[in-house]
Amino acid sequence: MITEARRIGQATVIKLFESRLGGDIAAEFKTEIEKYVEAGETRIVLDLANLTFMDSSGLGAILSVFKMIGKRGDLAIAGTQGAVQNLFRLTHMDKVFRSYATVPEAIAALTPHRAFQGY
Amino acid sequence: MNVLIVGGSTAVQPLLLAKLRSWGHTVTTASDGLDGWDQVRKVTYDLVIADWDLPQIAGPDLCRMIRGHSFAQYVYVILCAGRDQRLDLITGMEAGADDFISEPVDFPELRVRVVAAQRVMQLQSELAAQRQSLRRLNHELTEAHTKMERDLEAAAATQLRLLPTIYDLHPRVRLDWLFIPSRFLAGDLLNYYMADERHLVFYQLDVSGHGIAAALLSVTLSRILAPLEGSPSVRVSPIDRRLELAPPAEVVAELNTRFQGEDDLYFTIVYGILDVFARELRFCQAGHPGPVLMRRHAAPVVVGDGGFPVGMIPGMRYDETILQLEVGDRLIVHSNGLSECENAVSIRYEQQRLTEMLDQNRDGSLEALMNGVREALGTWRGQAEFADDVSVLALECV
Repeated sequence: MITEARRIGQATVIKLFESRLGGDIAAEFKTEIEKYVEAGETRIVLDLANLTFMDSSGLGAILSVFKMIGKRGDLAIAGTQGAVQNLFRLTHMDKVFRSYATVPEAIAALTPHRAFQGY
Repeated sequence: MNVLIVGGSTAVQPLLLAKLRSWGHTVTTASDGLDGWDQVRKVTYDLVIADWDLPQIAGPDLCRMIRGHSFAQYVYVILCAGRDQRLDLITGMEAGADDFISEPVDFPELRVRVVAAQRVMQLQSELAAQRQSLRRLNHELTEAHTKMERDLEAAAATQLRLLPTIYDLHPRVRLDWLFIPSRFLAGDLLNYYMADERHLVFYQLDVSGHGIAAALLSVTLSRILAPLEGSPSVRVSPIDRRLELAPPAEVVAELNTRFQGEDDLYFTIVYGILDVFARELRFCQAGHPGPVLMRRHAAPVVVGDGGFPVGMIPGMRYDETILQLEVGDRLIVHSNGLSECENAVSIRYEQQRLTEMLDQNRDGSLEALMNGVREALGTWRGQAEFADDVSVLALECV
């Protein structure tokens, strides 16, 4: 396992342990997150605070996760820094998914579950 | 099983021989330890039943010699303690014996011990067969892998032939490039051509990942970007039906539409057009590192605002950067194989070091500049093999 998930309120915070997200672990990363999503965890905060480097395959994996969640839920990214942040900016991914400095900020940014409106 | 009885009193041996034969085994006898040792090396035995006390070589010693010798298969050894002898289990086991009996031989007990020996020998032979088959499979795999590596290396060499071979396209522009392929197929590609008497088209792209899929996409792109009807690089003029150049942002947007596919198979590109007379350069940067602009009298700067990679998300808008160049100005387009190139302690080269190095090499020709890049990067890397393709495309207004 290269990730760990915990529930905070209505959000599932998935923390990536690795410091490099590249072609060698991109598939594993995708599969692990797929499992959480299949299990119904669709309001996800991806905590990338440990990540110091990501290559093109890593970026593809993150986008894949973003598409996987799609309309089923919501995704926010937390803790990006340095090279990862630069890559998001260079590839305009900061316009595709929302990225925040901290996990609480990312949780707060997730769209709330639609409240029960009555019959 | 093939059984060898070593020693045995004249009273016991014939009985033992008869019993073992009646249980279906092939039995040979040896008179003493030396004879037993000779026989065991001549014929393949499954089971050796040896007396503890033997002339010449004692039972435990014979056992130790068997264990020390390399036989084609395992030899199961049962030591037999004499009538007046206390069975020294520790000495026997340390010598490598598998089992023990003592005289007078209890034949029903011996029978089950021999059955146990047979079971062990059966497992041994199955294991040996499996090992043999694994060895064969491993050999086949190694061979297939070697062939695949050879094919990939040949394909990588072929891919290099797609690179431009002409440097003097027009008197108003100088061109040069650098390409250091990673050992295996990767996806960098660069090219340029004069589309008409004043427009130089150039591009440099990098397909994500490595291997056959990446290389095939890069080769496909080189084909599809050739300025023929149907290519995203040209469009048919509504006025005179002639082919005209499509603006860079449109070219990239069209590529993005055509190449939507797997998330991890996409590419980044800088695609540009230089009007060699007006010296106006416009380029679209899509997920690719920003080119370095080297004005003749200023420090190098990174230009461009980034952009979405191509083939990742459909319907994205792409922008163009427009630069007014002067004589002597240069634009250096490069792939991330350069900025992400790691040295021996995994520190990346980074764009900062790149612009500084370009600045230090600014005084010579374009060719000297490319050599400078190659040298600096080679020193940084510290080994012949690169993890990713490194490619640079340089142009200069004359």
